[in-house]
Amino acid sequence: MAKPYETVIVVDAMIPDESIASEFDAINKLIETQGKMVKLDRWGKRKLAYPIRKRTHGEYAVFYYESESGGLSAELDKRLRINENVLRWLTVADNPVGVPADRLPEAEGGAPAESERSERGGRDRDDRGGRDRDRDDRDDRGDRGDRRPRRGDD
Amino acid sequence: MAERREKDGKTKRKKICYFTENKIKFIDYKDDKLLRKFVNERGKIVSRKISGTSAVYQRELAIAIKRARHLALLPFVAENMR
Repeated sequence: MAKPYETVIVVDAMIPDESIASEFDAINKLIETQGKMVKLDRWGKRKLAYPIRKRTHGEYAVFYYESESGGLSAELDKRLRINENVLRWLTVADNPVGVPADRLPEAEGGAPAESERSERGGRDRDDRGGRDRDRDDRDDRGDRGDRRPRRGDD
Repeated sequence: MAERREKDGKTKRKKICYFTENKIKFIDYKDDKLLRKFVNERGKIVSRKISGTSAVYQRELAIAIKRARHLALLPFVAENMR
């Protein structure tokens, strides 16, 4: 039985746009040989959270596809590993989150209003925490007992 | 938010699990905006004790954060996070 897969690929953003497109095309074709593409979600250029091979930016794309288990992901891995332009990739099978419906392949940063709202709600709660919150959660230190008598008095 | 006075006069705030609260069933590693809320300025995963996340989601969250780190969506270590 065919399973849903998703592969996130991070390509070096320093290479020309055409090469980026052709890299993704090549992956697309490879997937089509042994599976069925469902959706290609290109995120565009993004800053990496940390530099990889001296690169600070990457082109992100998520491939959603269906395939029989085994063969294809192994083949993909092999290809991506030897490809110098690919900084990172990750393949996940059966991701319960599924394919995003709200996001069109070319839409960038067009997050729906709903997720925006829930995000803000969460931030309020989290930010309020900060240092004070940490202190609240500290364990009880118990009774400190009587103060030691002062020296030097009288 | 229920607050309870303890014997020693400290107030304990009832913690709420963000995911249960917002009915998020599955945590996506691609959603770095969401994941950033559960990571401190250092980029470390915030403990359940602090965030109030339920055990089930904390496990899922940890995996999601680690995947996101691999893809450079989140830092492994950060001096300063936005």
